[in-house]
Order: sequence, then C-alpha cells, then structure tokens
Amino acid sequence: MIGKDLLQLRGMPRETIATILDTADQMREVGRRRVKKVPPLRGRLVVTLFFENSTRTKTSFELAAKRLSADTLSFSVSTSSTTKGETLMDTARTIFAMQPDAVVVRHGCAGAPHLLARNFGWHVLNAGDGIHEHPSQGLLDMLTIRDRLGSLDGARVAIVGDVQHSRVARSNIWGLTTMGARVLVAGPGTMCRAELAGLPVEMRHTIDDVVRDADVIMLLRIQHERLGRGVLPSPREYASFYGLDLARLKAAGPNVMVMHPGPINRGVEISADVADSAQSVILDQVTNGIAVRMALLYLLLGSDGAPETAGGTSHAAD
Amino acid sequence: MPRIEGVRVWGETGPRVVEAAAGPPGETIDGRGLVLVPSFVDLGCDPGFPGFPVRETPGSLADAALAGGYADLVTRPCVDPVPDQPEHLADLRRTLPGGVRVWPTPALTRGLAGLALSELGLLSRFSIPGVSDGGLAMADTVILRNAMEYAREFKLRLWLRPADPGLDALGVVHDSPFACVLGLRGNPGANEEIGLTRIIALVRATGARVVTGPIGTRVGVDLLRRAAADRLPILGYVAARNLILDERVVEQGPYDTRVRLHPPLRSADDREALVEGVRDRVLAVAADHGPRAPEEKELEFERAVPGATGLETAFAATLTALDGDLEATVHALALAPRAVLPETTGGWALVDPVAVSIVDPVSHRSLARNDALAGVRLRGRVVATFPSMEFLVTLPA
Amino acid sequence: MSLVLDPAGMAAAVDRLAEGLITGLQGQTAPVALVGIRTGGVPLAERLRARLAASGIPTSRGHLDITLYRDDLYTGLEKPLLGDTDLPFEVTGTGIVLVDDVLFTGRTIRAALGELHDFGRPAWVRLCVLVDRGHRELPIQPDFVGLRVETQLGDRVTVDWARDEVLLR
Repeated sequence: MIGKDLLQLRGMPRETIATILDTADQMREVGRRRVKKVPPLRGRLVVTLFFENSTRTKTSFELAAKRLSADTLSFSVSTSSTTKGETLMDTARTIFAMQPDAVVVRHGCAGAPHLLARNFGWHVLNAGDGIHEHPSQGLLDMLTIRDRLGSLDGARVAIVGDVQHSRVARSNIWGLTTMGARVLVAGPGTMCRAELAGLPVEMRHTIDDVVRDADVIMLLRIQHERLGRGVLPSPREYASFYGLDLARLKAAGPNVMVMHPGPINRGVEISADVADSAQSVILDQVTNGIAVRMALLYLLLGSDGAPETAGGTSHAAD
Repeated sequence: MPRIEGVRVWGETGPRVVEAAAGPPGETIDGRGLVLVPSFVDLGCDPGFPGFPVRETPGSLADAALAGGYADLVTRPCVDPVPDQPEHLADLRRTLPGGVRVWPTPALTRGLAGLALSELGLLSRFSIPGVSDGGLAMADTVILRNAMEYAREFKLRLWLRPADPGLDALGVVHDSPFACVLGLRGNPGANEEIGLTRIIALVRATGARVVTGPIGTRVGVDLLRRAAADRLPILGYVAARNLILDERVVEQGPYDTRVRLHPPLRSADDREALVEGVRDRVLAVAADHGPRAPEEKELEFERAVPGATGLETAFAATLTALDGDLEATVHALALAPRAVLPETTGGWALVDPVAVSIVDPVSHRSLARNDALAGVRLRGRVVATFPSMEFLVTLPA
Repeated sequence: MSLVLDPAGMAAAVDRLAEGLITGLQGQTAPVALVGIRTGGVPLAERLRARLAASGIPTSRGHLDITLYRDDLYTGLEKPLLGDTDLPFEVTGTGIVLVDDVLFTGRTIRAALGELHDFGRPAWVRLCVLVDRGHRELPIQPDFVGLRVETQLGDRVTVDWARDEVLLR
C-alpha cells in the first residue's frame, strides 16, 4: 500500500503521507486501551539495527512493534560484532539468517538503509541515516502539527538551528512542503549554508526573522561535538542569536507551537520556561511517535501475502 | 602477425592495407569502417600491484589495458610498499603480458608523508616520467616548492593533485545543493581552485614541469587555459568518465558506490567546461583507472573506497562526449599524454568509431567491476591493441 | 442484480429486530450496549438504539473497527484503511449486543469478539444482524435476525443505508 520500504520522505506522494497520518491517528486509540495490544503482526519479527545510540527512537519502534503483537529483536553496536570490523552487509547477512520481516535501521551514513533495501527482501525502515533523513520523526512531527492546526496545508513552520546537519529537518522539510506547508529556516551561516537552496525552504537570517511569521517553531538540537573547527564560537552566542526564550515566544504570539525532536539542551536552543510552557508540544511528539511507527509497520508489513491464509474468504464480502 | 585490410590509418585518407613489419604471417582482419590510431596512455593509473591482489594482477591489468586501446600506463605510487626508493624500482615490472608498458611515478616524498623528499636523483636513473604526490595534496607549501626546484634539475615531472590539503579531506560528493538533498557531506569546488592556483604559482616561480589532475571544475579548466596561454609547462588531465557523468548520478542507485570518486563528480556545468577543455586541447584525458575489490565497494557510500575503473571505457566515453570527434579524442588520449613520457613510444589501437554499446562491467577484463559508467550507452569500441607493432602501410590492391 | 429488501421491507426487518431485542433484553440486570461493527453495523445499531430508547430501554453506544483483528490481513488484498474503534463505557460487566448488517462466513464476528475481549470481560454478548446470507465458515450463529436470504457463495449482498435497500448481486 505504501511500498516495500520507508527510506525517505523526499519523493513520497501526498496521498501516501496522508494515509500514514490517518492510520497513525487511529493507532493512537490503541494506546488508550486497557490492553494496549492488537494482533495484526502476530508472529512476525521486527529487528531494530542501531549503529548509533538512540534510546528514544529504538524504544519507540520496539513499543510500536509490540503493540501490533510482533516479536522484536534488538541489534546494537555494543552487542554486535561491528566493532570487530564487520561490514554493514555482513551484519545484514547475519540478520537475514534470523528471517526478519522488517528491519529498522539507524546508521551514521546517508544511504545505508538504501543499501540494505536494495540487497534484501525484508522491509527496511530508516530510523535515521547520517544527515540525510529521519522519516518517522518527520511524520510524527507532521501528525503533531496537524493535530493542533487541523491541516498542514498553508501551515508556516520555522525550523531553527543546524539544518545543514539535521536529518530531522530534511524529513520535515520534504514532508511538510509535500503537504502544502511553507518552511522557513534560520541558523548560523555554518549551519544554514547556501547549499540549502537545494531544499524547498525559505532562508532567513535570525530567529527573530522567522518566529513572527510562523505557526510552528521547530528547534533543532545543537550537538556539542559539532562545535569544533569554527562551526560555532560558543553555546552562549548561539543562545543569544538563535535560542528561543520567553521574549521571543511572546513576539511569536500565543498560538504558536514549539517543537523539539529531543533530547533538549535547556538554555541553549530552548530556555527552560519555554520548554515547559503550554505552547510546547514536546511530549505529544513522543506519544505520536509510537502511533506513527505503528502505522508504518502496519502499512508496510500488512501488504505481505501469507500463503497459509491466502484463498480464504475475505471479510470485505462479509 | 596480423594483416588488416581496408582500414583507415591515422593521419592518412582512404582505405589501406597494413601489415606487421616483421614476424610470420597471421590472421587477416577486415578493417573496413575501422581506424588505426596511436595507442593510448593513461596518465593516472592505480596498478593494484604490488600489495592489492584483490584489485588487479599484472595479467588482468594488461588485459584491461589492451581491451581499452592502452599500451602505456603511468602508474601512481599508491601501492604497498610505496615506491620511494631506487630499490623498489629495480624490482618493479615494466612490461606486462601482451607488451603493455608501465611507467611508474614513485613517491615524491618518503612514504607519501609529505615531509622528506625521496631520493629524486637516484630515482631519475630508472627512466621514469616523474614523481607523484600519490593523490595526497602536499600540506606544506614550502616542501612543495623545494620539491619542484629540486626535481627540475633531474628533468622529472611532478604529478600533483590539484587540491587544498585541508578542504580536500572534506566530503564525499561535490558540495552543492544536490549534496545537501542527499545528506552527503560536500567537497567544495574551491578545493580544486586553491590547489591548482598554488601549483600554477609555484610552476611560474620555479619552472618545474607538472602534470596535474584529475581536473573536475570549470574554474580549473579556466586556470589551465590561462596557464597554457602563459606557456607554463603544466599538463592538466581529466578522467574520461567526468566528461559523461556529473554529480546527479549519485541519485541513481541511489548511493551507488561505483560513483564514489575522489575528487567527486561535479556539476553539469563543470562537466560541460571539461568537455570544452578537451576539445580545445587544454586538457588531456586519462582513464584514471582505479580498480577496487567488491569488499571495498559493497559499503555505505561514505565508507566505500573511492575510485573507478576506466581503461576499458575511456576511449568510448571521450569519443561520445566529443560527439564523435576522433581527432580530438586521439589527441587527448594518446598524443598529449605521450609528450610527458621520457621516451618515444609506439603502439597502435584499432578502433571502431561508430559502434554503440552499453557499458557492462561484467564483461570487462579488469579484475575489478567498479566502472562508474556501468549502464551508460557509449559510442566507439576498441577492436584490438598492438603495443609495439610496427606496421607497413600499403594501398589496397 | 436483485432487490432483496425495498425501503418498506427494510423498515419491517428493523422492526422485527427491535421487537426481538425488546423481548430478549427483558429481565437483564446488566447494563446493555449496542455495538455496531464498522461500517455497515453502525447505522443499524443507531436505529435500534433509537427504537429501544423509545420503548424506555436505555443502551450505551459503541462501535468496533475489526481491521486489526482480521485473519486475512496478509492475503495480498488491498488493505482497507483503519477505522475508528470507540467503546465509551466499561466493557467489563456490560451486556453487549454486536450489531452488523450482513452475516456471512462469521469471520468478522470472530474478529469482533476477539477485539471486544481485549477491552474487558462483558457480562454476555449477543449477535444481531439485518441479513443472514448463510455460508458460515465458523460455529457462529445470530441471536436476532432481520431476514434470512438464500445466496450463492460468490454473490455479494450489500446494504445501502442511504436508500434503505438491500441488494443481491
């Protein structure tokens, strides 16, 4: 229904995105039940293959798989043999022997999920590849925005920070613009380089230039390990030009939503009072993450044929 | 020894019969529609040996060269051990099976570390075209200048990478909006501009002779054009595949590591400038043969070893990019590169300038399968290569 | 194509169901809910609730989407979109009447029973359908039936709630 793999939001048709968001909307109801588990993926194996640490995304995918009654198996760098120099393809061949139905992969290199998708029959879900894309995060952000604004069409979303090195930003930019939203970006010149012209965004300079025109302010995490080699003088300087504090939030207006993919650096990209304010939807993002990942697993794996039940009478005629 | 009937010979008009000047009679080749042209010289070849038997062996390299019209290969010092001493050259094989000649360029600095000069004088006794930085731009400009002054006296050319040592380490694709979309780190075009500017300035100052490449940008072509107008002794070359491909091929596949190259493929505009540069004889064309084993390529894009084979497709790629201009193609592949070899070299390639085919690396003679042009439709085919044949040319009976 | 029920027949069938329910629910001590199975069962459940309310029998409303509980999810057919499940009452201890438009193989009802039990332990469950077209593949029988129709296995029975018609193709 939505294809074999989830690799990127660039190029994903509008109807597909709408189907995923609508399905995720229904999946949230399962999370409110007493028994938070439904049977559609019973007996199927979802492997999480993480080459970078990410407790959030990994647990979110695992919980999503479990709520759909799939079995989960977690493969991470510390427990696998990649430290011994095994290649991605060899690791994948090992996993292949376990006969998974889907593999959720997080990797430091752009295109690593594409390599797996090209070479193996199982469904590949990109849980973040280098600085390329993080499609499930983009979708959950879109669901969160849609909840508040009613529609993504015409929404104005400001993305502030290290857009250049953000897979979250890329997925949001492609997904949001496909759904008719406008994306404004702002950040230091080293993080919002002229090459961003390849993305469908409007580039502005400072945070003040974008917040006054935005319905949504999405803040990106500043990664301290990236601050070397002249990228940024100091976190303090960043906070003063690009951090969202109460004064700037006030200027943005009382209805603007504040988002952050987490984990947040309080006092750098977001001040503590803004993070905890009613305008912040950071915790909704977490809840929606599980629902979006349930929808993705359901839609991707649900299109498989299973010979044991094939030929039976369809419920559609019942 | 073969006899070729009805063939057109480079520099002459009309069909001819050519026969080997010596040796017993051999098969007769129907040469109608074919052209006998001077064989080609690769100005930048990774031989793979010694040290990398998974990439290429002397036999497979020779087969690949002969399949592509190449009789002379200028080899880079990117082998193990790095050839930086006379003893290495004494052991090095200079003629491959089939008569393909190897012209080694030993390391300009010991171990290619960019610190201490190799014994250039002693190395120069081995009939080498020059010495090479091995594709690693020199970090210290003072050492580079000294190397140029020192090498000049031994009539050695320097094979230099046109790159800034800092910027060259950045990125795996051309730094552009397109790289931003793919989420791959970019290597800026300024890298080449800075590196080439440094080389040109030092050539002007020292009078050293330099071969530099592969060139990939429009600015690089312009700089070389001006250097040529100033009669500076610099020969720039482009890799043949860069005349056909640009950065956008990375999206096909996508992230196909066969197009993981360093320097990366650049923009469509750069590609056009490179083709103009070859047509105007500002640039020579190299095969830039970089065989890689499957395990070096079956990796994430960023981690794959850069390089692509080229010997077997360089002729067709160049001829195709030049719209069938055989004269300019032969100049770029054969005549211009021959001028930087230390000895006069012969050799012929029998080519079909109109045959069209789709590149299929599985059929290649190289041990490696990593041709970046895989799947591309090209015009021109090499029928045979005669590395050391002297031909007698006669009019057809 | 033939008309199984016209609007008048439809009204009579709904009447029969409502009367059957009123009689059948007499003496029940547990609270009762009418739960429509999406999508065809929902309008029927609404009509029946209105009839019961008019007779002084209050019932809770709810609806089930059984997509996630289907046993043919992987047959390669195009998958239907997920619908909404809403049971806004305490399932445990409630008497539940499952309402659907057409009863055929019984697989939908099996799925609905499975889903219902993930919400709690009902006091009891009854099954109410407008049309029973036969060809059961599971041991499931209705407690309340509006109309029994003889059909071929390959026939399609559709209920049009906008025009109040039941068609057989």
